[in-house]
Amino acid sequence: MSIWLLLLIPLIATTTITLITRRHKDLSSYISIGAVVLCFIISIKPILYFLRNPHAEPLEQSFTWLNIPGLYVEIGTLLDPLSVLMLFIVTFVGSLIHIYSRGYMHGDPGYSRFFACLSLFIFAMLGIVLANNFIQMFIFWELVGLASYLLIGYYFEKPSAADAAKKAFLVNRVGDFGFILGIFVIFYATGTFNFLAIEKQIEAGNVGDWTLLLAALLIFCGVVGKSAQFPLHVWLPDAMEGPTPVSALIHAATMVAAGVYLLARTAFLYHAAPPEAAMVVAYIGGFTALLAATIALAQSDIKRVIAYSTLASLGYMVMAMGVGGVSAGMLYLTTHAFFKALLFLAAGSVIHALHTNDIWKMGGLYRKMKITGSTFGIGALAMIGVFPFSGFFAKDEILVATLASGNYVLFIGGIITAFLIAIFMSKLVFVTFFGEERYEGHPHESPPVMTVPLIILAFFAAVSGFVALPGLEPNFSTYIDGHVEGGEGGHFVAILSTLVVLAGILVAWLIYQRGFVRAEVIANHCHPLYRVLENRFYIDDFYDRVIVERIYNGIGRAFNFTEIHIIIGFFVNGSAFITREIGKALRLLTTGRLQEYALLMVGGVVILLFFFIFG
Amino acid sequence: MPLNIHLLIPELVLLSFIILMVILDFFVRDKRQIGVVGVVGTVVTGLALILVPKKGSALMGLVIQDPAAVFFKFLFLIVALSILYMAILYDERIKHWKGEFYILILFAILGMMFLASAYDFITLFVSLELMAVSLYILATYMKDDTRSIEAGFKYLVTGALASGFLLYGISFLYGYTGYTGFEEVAGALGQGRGGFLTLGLFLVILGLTFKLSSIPFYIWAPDVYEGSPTPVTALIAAGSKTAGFVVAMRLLFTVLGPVKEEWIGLVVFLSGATILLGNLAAMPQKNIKRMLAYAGIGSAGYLLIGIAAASILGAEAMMFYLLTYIFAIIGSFLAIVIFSRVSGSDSIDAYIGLSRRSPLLAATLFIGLLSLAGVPPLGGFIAKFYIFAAAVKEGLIGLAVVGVVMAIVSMYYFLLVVKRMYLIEPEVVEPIELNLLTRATLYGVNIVTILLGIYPGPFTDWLMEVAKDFF
Repeated sequence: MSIWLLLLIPLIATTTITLITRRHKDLSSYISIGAVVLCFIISIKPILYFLRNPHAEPLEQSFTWLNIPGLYVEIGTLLDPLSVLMLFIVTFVGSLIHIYSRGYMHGDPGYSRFFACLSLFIFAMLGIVLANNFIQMFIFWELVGLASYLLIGYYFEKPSAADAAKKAFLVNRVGDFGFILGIFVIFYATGTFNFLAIEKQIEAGNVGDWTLLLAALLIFCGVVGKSAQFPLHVWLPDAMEGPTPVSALIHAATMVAAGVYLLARTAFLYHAAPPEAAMVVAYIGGFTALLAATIALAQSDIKRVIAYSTLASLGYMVMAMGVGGVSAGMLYLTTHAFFKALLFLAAGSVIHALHTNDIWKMGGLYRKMKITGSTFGIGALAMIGVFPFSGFFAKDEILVATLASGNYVLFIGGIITAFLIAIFMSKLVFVTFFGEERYEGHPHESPPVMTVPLIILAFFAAVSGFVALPGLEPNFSTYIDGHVEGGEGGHFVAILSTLVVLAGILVAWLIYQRGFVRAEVIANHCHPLYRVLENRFYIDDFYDRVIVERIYNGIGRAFNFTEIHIIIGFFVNGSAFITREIGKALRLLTTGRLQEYALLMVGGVVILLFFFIFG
Repeated sequence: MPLNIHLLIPELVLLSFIILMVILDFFVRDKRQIGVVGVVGTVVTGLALILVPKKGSALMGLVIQDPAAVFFKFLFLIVALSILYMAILYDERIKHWKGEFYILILFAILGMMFLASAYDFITLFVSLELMAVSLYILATYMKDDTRSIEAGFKYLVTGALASGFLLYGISFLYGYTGYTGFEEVAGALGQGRGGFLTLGLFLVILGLTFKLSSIPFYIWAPDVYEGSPTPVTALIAAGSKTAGFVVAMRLLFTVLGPVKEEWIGLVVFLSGATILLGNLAAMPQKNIKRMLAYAGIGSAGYLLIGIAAASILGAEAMMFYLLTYIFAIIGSFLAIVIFSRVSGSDSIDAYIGLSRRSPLLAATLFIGLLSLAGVPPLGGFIAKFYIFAAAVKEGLIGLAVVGVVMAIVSMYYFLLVVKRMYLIEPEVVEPIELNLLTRATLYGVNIVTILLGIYPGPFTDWLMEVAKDFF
């Protein structure tokens, strides 16, 4: 029963805030924070249970939602090591970010609305995590999309925020359309929506190869949308228009990772499908990572740089899933949730102090903001993947899994990505926190309600990688997979990646700290390339100019013409005219004269009797 | 056959409370207190209904008690509660015999409760008339308002005509089988078919269509809905129609089930024609009560699809439809009653900008109307879904197609109201104040309608069991 509370509590919180307490800002924030902290406390029990018995059977509870012959839909919860891990991430990181938001959003006019949306998000996200069937997952999948839309457009009076919200929503629709088709394909093939039942059917070999391939690729469309993979990655950087805690919670730690979770949840599908499906997943992931890391080099908005680093991370995770490294991907997801939330929250602390996002208007902040600066540094080291920070272990496992799967192209891409990440993350640290002071005003450290979550996250960002140490029992991969993953080349990969990231840090240090080579010189020398990077490979432009303006608007005009002249002019107005005239004619039957009513009634009976008895 | 009076305790409790209200009417000055006594009586009746055995037969087989009867009696009690509450809100507009207004409402409810249990043509007819006569008086209650007088008079005359056909049909059935009890008639029917049997059958079905407000006896509905006091309109819309369908289900499924080839064609025709007529004629309406009358005719058509399916799934779909329909009607009419107290008008144009004046009232009407239209995620959607599923399963594809197309058409006239409430700026912006009890009631009704839409599982599972009783 307590599992259902995980869904009920945030739902009650969001409705209470929306309907009752929205005028009382403090009360609203306490309700929202209380709800998510309570969820965290409730989820401790299943977490401990599965830590003690990592090989226990999944716990499933469900009840009927719809039961029509031929269509059975249930609402249920599925607890297994995977969902419990996500439960921990969502409620724990969620709690810290909720608390941080109390400080960050202080004095904002939409305070209560913000917390109502956060609780709605927690409700929806837990719905995804706990779902035991595809339909429920899809419903909550759409609900997190809604919460994300509401929060990206939180400053809806700003046109760029409203546009970003719209963009995120529309781009996700493209992916979700594929997702729901994939669900139907699965349902058509197996007759059920339940994950465990589908897994059994697929393992029994009841589903054909082509069907599996089709389903796997269609479901991957949903992942591409939600986890912002190429070519649908364009919404995520724009989503940074939302308040920073939202970027941390939704667009870094949890929601965008839902796609990766979906891949882990349906790993049996990609395992059973022809290998092409997993190849598509791996290559899309690897390409997204490399693309995002390259673009990030030329960005100067602190949140955008972190957003592109998130894209790179998501690319890594998806690639891991594609090469069969489920536990490697999930380890990255876990550590990423800590260090990326940390990076965003620390960046938020900087933005809170300076009211700008431009890193060239910062510099030398470490002297003023010691806690923010040092926690950001830890986050950056974890993101870069320096031993012994958590990111090192996660990245290492992904690269080992990639190498073990024999995808050398992907492996080299992954190494280059790691090098690029090291450069731009170090650049971010050097330019923002060290060097000359280019800011205006008098920045000061944020209040404890913001710095304490930073410190806690920094602790986890630093040490959470150790859960993957090979000697532990259970360690991370035996917890997720039940067996030890990896293979040959562990040491080789660890040493290679460490050398590469150290080289990256060195390059960044030489350019941005020592000024050995001026950044402008590089920019001037490689002017065309720099422009391309600055403009994000013109992918957004391509979408705007070609897809939106030419094709979309062209189609729009064609539809508009069809709609006005054919549909409205002929069908709607025509049928409305006809039906209205029929309606009027029918109304004339109701003359109001009683004798005529009686005549009509008796006449009706006589005609009907005549037809049905003698006809 | 024993008397088994204890099965009728709920009805007797309600009757006692009605008599108590008649006596109190002599002493009490503020007649709304009579209404409150009525509310208490309804609640006590509900408690008695929980305790009473759910299976059995009483009064020597004249009435039976089964889960289906109990389900419908609960529905009638929910209707009674909300209509009494509406009547209390409406009290100031009633000029004469205020006390009897509440008493007659409960008499009508009592008639409906007996109808849910009727197992003999005589019980059926007497209960039907108990309900009908109470409603005739109620419809004509505003004796200073010519529209109310006209409505009541038309209701009486057309109703009497319909009762004539019903009784004529019953007499044929009696003449053919020699019995009036449902069970005996059902038994005798097994032995042969004949012209007079079919004639009697059809006359009974057609006579009942008056209560359902479907073709051919629908014509009274718009005038009566528009002219009657609004709580009475709601009572006719929610209660009388449901009662008509209980009788139709019991008669056609239980008694005439063995000869279903005889009547299915007729019901299919009635259903399709009624859906078309109700939804098309609703479009040009300017008065919201009149529009709801035609929408109600349309709903009768949808419910007849369930009868035409003549299966357990069809019966279940009908019961779920009636459940959602009653809550949608209660919500809509509560909003109409409260709004007309302020505006004094039932014209659809009066609803312009209601969302600015009272978001809750607008939301209630919005949810009620869209549930009637069958928009997800409201209860009405699931109900229509089930009805169509039942039709398709029995091979009535054509009827399902007509139903779906007309469901889309119905969006037009429901959304006209929504458009006025939400999209057009009002001239009067004065907010409408609602007291706490009214707010709570509106919230409650809305929550039920939404709940029936997003989580119908337990209700449909339960109704699936109940539906088996009819066969």
